[in-house]
Amino acid sequence: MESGRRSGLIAGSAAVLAGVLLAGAAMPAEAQTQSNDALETELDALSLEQLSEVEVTSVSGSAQPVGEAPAAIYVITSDDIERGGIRSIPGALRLAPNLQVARIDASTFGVTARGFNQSSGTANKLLVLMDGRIVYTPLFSGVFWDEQNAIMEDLDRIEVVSGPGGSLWGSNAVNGVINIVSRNAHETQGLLVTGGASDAAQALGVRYGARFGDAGAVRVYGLGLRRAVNEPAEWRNMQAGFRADWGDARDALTLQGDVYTGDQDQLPGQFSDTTISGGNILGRWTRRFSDASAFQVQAYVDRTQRHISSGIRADVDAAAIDAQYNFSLGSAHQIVLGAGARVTSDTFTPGPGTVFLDPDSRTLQTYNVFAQDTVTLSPSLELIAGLKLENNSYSGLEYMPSARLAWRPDPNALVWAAVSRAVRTPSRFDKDLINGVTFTGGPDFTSEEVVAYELGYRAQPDDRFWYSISAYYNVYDDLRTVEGTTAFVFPLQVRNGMHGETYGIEAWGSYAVTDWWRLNAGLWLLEKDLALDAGSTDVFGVGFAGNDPDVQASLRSLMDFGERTQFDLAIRYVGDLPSPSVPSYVGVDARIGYRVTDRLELSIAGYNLLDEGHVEFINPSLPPRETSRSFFISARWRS
Amino acid sequence: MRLASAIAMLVTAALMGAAPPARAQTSEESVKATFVSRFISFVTWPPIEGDAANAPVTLCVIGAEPFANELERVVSDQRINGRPFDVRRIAEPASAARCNAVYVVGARVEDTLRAVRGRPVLTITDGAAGDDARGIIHFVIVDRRVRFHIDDARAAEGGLFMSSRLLSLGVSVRRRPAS
Repeated sequence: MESGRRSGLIAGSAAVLAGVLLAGAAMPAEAQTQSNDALETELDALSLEQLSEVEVTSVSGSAQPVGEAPAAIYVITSDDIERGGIRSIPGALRLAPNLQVARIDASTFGVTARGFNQSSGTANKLLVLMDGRIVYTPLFSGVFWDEQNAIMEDLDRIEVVSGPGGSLWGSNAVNGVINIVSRNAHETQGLLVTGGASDAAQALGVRYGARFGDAGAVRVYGLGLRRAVNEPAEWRNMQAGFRADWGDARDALTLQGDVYTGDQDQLPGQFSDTTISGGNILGRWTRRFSDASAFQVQAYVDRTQRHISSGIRADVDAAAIDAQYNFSLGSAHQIVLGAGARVTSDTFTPGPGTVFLDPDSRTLQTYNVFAQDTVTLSPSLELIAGLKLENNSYSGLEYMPSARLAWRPDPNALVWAAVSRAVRTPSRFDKDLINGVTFTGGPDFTSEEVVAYELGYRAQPDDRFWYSISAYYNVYDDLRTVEGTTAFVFPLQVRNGMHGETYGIEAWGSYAVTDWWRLNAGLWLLEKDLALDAGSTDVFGVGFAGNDPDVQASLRSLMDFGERTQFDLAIRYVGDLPSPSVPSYVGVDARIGYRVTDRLELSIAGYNLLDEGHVEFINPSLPPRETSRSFFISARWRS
Repeated sequence: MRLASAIAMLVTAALMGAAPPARAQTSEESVKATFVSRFISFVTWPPIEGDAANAPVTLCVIGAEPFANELERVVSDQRINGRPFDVRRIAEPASAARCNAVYVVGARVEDTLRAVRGRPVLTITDGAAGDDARGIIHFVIVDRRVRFHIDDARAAEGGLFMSSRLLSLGVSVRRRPAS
């Protein structure tokens, strides 16, 4: 009897927690390299001025330079994004073979690296930056992906590092760092109109870029999105912004900002309608003293507001400043020194009868200093040692060291090894979540910790072929648990009662079969071995820490038929998820792009062609939602 | 209804795109190679004693074999003021001091820039190859076009003069100190 009632209460609390901890979901809501003689003669005849107006396609765009950092880094290039017919940032992240991306509904995604994905869209072990601005929320240390939008053509690249990046980037870079980098305004000149439609979604973006003065450029843009996945649930978003860059060989200045508003209608009887709005402005100044020495300072303010018609409101203001100085010390040391501060101030207003945060408003401060030394031990061997010290309002001083060794046995190959430690510092929901007598926050909750051991090999044996393979062994401690505090279980408390290991392999490669046909492949394997600490009275079990597949694989084929037509095919396999259980699936996407003129490109893309629809992820507090087969027609015009 | 609006949008975009003439796309490498051969006409080197008037213009390439091949092809029949071109593939940054111009990418960029600093060598680097360090000319891709930043101050250090026509094409120009 009692145990039945107890499990009922636990289930009830689980639902409440899932609904709020997990408010993420709740609140959501080639290149033409043929040396054509005629063309070359034509080039010879051109003046310098005309030469600088010749459009080119880039070969380098698809290669991953071997010289990159000794880490499991995958770079999603602008070319990849354009060819993928990508219209959202989570969509672009699917191209990274070292990430897990699972869609929950029209605007909610679970995105993580190396496991610990959260079915409610609240994965919390990634550091995500947009042009240097931290975008994870202090509320639960995860990212509201519906707030992160951009005109995809204006993105330069997305760098995805799996594994800890704490020594350089700071807290939350536990399982990975995603760095979304937009183009310099000099590279986005003229008018761009891009848009498309399917039966369930429409998107339109307009950007205009111009120069000013000797060395300045600016762009302004506006975009609108509408997506209905399970009608009447529908997501709409509008955003506008600008980026101005000015620079010569010595100084570079950037000023950029965005404002947005969005809303989501939920299914009747589910969570209520959600409205989001926000804006940010960021400035960055870089001075180069020499080839090996530069100083950079960056500051931003960021506001996000999320209102649910049931009364829940979450407003977060953030402000941050970071400075960094690089220089050489002798011929063997390349040093980076940095310091930064970030302040967030949030207000969480509960709805009637929901959980609340105590206090409902809190200002959190984080200060950090870091140093990194790249030591050239021999012409082919480098050691990169770094340490970040960070102080935060909840857990005090945290240390995040790393040591990386890079060995280049020949110019086209890199062997690397790394040991690093990173932490996820407590979030508001970890510490301050209260629900009457059933839930009393996490007064004793401290940071979650990982120590990662990594080994990797990257090589580009010839112009046509490159690949990367890395293996990791991550040791976690103090992972979050929700524990009973009495013989009757309640009240529940957030504690650090779990530990364990994960290990896995991340591999990818690219092969140009011919000048017009390239194949990209990726493989991802994960094993988790998590356990509760002795004495833990956790009520959810280790499965609550993450709902992950143990295998993912992908294959993309990119073909150019002549100069105008592209045909791309992508196949993706994601293994089954344990709890909530989701069967494995194969997703097949195809896209045909046709350049009508140099300025106009039309494309048609089909997504999830194999089946009517499949579920990628299940939020336990919502009914399962399928990602269905869809076709998207789009057009892109540049002046 | 939705389909109608999608079609309307496509038609509008098509009309806007119909106006400009179509132009074939060209490889990035051949445009850059053409640029490099062309730069020579717009840069003046300080006179070197004992250098014959018809001595070849030495174009060196470090770390970019395909580019060297392309450059060789582009300059094969060309002369500039009666001087032929000599394309050399070199491995050591120190050897770059004997070149009129050097195109360098990859791991040796910074060493090369250091090795020829203050010497009359037109250094050409390439942001599109993923390099950050900049020579006198630094290629970038802007809106699918090959463009370049110019560091005239660094050119001045080596006694090079760049024509105003070339300077006017720089995406950015770091000016030489007023003399």
